[in-house]
Amino acid sequence: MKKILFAAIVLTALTCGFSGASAADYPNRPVKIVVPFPAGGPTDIVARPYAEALGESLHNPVIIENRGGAGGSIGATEVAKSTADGYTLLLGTVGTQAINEALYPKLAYDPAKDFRPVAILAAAPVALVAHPSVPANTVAELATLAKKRELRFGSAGNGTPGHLTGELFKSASGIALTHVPYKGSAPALQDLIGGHIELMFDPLQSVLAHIRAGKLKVIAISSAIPSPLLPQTPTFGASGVNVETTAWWGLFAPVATPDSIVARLAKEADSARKSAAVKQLENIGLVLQGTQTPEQQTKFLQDERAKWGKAVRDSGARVD
Amino acid sequence: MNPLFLPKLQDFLSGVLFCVVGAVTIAAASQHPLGTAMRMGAGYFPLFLGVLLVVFGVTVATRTMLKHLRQGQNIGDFSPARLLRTLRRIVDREAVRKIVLPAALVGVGVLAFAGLLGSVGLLGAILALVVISGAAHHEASWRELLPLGAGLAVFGVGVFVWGLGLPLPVLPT
Amino acid sequence: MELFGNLGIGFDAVLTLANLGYCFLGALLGTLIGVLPGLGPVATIAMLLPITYGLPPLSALIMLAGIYYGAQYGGSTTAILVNLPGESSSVVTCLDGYAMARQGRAGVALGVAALGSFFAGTVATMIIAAAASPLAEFALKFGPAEYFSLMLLGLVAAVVLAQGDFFKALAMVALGLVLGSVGTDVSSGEERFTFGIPELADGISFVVLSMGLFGIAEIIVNLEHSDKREVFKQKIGSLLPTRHDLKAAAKPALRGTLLGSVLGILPGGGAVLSSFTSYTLEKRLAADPSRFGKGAIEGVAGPEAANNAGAQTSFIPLLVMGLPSNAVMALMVGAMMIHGIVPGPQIMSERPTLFWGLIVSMWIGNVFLILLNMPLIGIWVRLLQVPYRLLYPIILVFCCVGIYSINNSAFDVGLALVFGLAGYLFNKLGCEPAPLLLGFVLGPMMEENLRRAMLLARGDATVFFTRPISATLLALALALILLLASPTARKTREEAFREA
Repeated sequence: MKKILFAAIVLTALTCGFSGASAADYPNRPVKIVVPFPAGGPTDIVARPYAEALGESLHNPVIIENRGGAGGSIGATEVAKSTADGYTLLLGTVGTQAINEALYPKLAYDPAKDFRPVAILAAAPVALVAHPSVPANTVAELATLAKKRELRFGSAGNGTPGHLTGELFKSASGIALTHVPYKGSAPALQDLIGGHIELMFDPLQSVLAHIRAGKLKVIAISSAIPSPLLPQTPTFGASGVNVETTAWWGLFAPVATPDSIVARLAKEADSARKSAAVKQLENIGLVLQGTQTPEQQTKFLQDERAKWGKAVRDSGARVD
Repeated sequence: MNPLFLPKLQDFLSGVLFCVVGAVTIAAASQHPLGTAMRMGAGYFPLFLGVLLVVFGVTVATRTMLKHLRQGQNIGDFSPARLLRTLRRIVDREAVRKIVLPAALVGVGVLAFAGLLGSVGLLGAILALVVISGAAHHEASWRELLPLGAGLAVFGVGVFVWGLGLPLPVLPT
Repeated sequence: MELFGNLGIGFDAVLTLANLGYCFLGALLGTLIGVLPGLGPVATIAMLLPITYGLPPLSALIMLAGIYYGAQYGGSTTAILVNLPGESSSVVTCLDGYAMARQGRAGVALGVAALGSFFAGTVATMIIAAAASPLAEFALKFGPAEYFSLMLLGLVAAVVLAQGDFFKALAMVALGLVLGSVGTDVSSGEERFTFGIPELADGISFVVLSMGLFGIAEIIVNLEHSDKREVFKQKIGSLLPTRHDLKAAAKPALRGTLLGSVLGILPGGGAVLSSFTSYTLEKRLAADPSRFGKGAIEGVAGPEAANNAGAQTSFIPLLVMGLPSNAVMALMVGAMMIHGIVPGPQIMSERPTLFWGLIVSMWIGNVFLILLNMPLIGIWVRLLQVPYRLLYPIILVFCCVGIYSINNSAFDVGLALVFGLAGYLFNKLGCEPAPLLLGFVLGPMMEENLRRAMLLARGDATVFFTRPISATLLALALALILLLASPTARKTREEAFREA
């Protein structure tokens, strides 16, 4: 009996050893992270420093591929259908992993069934910014202005945290706004700075430089407490609008990716937080997330899907 | 002279081609919601394009015909029987040797490359492409194509795989 | 003069051995990938980004920028020699450049392209240095309505690219627009015209379409006549442009430079439109427009200058406002972010060395490119003396490897073959493919801006006529249509009168 048990243990160890062997030489070629938004946008800003740090610790180049469009679902679909060998990963967002499912009638991937989380990397509040010529500096002034003329708000696309925060803001405040989706943050910012639209909701890191340069003014942000980078800017809550949202970014792998590879990546993503390039993200408005166990991650994602699914239904948000 | 060079038939057939593609476009576009002028759906713009294609196609196909009609010429040229006869004249043995065969060889060569690259690797795929498509020329000879194919295969591996680091398989896997 | 002081800062920063080295390396790499069809600057820069992380920010940006405009130079080489447009901007160069090559004037075409690009690069660098800020302000005036009207004007102008029938060219533009809408719809996420084929979900790649319609189709057409005529005239005329050639090319290059400099600052389609628009302009201005498409030197000099000037000034929105105007610029943003530089309006004031250093490096890069490319012309021209029965398999190899490498997809290679056969059919039907390609490139942007403009205007289409810039562009488009349609209209009228 003991012998059999021993043999079983040895066998298990051996098979584990063998299944680990394929992962032991992981990675032996470049790893690709698909960023489902155009380069230069908020998601890309998070992805670049992490890719650099990961590339260093994995001793292999980590390449970023920008696949924008349809609120990130084009890039997410690509990763969902790719080989689950750890060489194709997704820089998933609150949009691709929680919002799109409820928003897009025909989504080609299932955020829960097609992906497994590796690590939640960073989070940021969503800022409501306006063209400097807009005669409103607070949410209250915005409400008065919206009664006099039509106000349009841009977002990085349907299903992005900017879009949904805007929709939640509309239904919580009763202010009438028209949503105009763009293909990423940069073209939306271009139209906002050019004065073709009045407002925009976008994660803080992509608008902060323009706020500081005076090209845009910030009206409020979506976090529970004011951002240390913009201490004067009120939260939506303080402005009398009960909206609190957080945009977040995480690393995801196709669901069939082996445990050992995911564990390795999670470990390296953890240590990447300490690298100088990643630390820098804190200066531009991002909050780096602490380590989470896989159970915590699953719970977090479940909660997020429920929360945003409800937000989509309650606000009546739709694909514009 | 290749009868297809006759401008009348050229215009007529290209007009028909545009109409067919336009019709397919309209059919495919109507699978998608049109939306409104303010909020256009996925089908709005393509549907418009399909209609545009049909309009242009009809114009292209009928313009030369109308011109001939006005000049009092016979447009019996466009009866199906006549078209069939013209087509048969185009597709004679001479045409097969000169047009269809070379085009087919180039096509098979390209498809062989596409099909072989994943399994046989870059060396074999390039060799197959060069030898098969190279045979399409009327002066082609094996004695030239084989060394050319081998040389290009080695050169291709050197430039694309080693030089540029493209992730292509070199040898059969 | 503040300008000279600023340029001084730039020269100080660039004239170090290391930075000159990176500038040269970038220009060389760019030329190489430009010459190889398929592999574009976006893929190369994406591949090289990790290598540049270790460099100082200025060196990294200098090298990446070098790759970008180097690729513009290199792209025209394959377009002229073997009719393979690897970049959307070199489609136009194929038309007259390749015709010149077949007449034994490849050296002249390559020389004029290189000199025209150098001239344009120099002028565009000056423009960026002197007027970056006002130009960026101008670009901001373009909202969705203006973009839509600009694209419409571009498509009407595309009709001039073709020799033959006006309506056929219009239909080809429409066909290109349809092909451009294949893939996942950006707004709704719905898959259109994919017929359930997963490879089409991301749309048709430009390289696949252009390699098929131009490269493969041209080979099949040539094979048909292989026993009757030689593809390339074996007698080589002058290797370099004569004074007469340069004189003919000077004004088109100047006009192309100005056009390209202005259109280049517009995000998205600007740089693509510039070469097409320049060709249209030259053909309209020419005393004998029928020479175009048959080896007119103006048809190479103008578009090549426009294309390079546009590539250069497309840096303006990025440098002045921190807004990337195309995929390459977006990658430059990525490179800046890694080095802790947040792109934005503050770059010029906070990082003058970086800003002016990059601008000066562009001019120096252009010097390197001309030094690099002029001696190469002799080698390229000799390539055309290889008998065609050996040359076309070589072209096919580069074509196929290039296409395959975009997505590692055998499907793409097969799709290119389908377009090659379609291109052969178009050739037989007298339908020219250049307008189709422009429609394909501009289509998605046009639809996106149309939908956005209508959304902004609450479904009121008069917005295109009430906004001054948009109205002007539409008026130009209308004038062009009337101008184009008039000779045919006149002819038909005359015939009608004769019969009456």
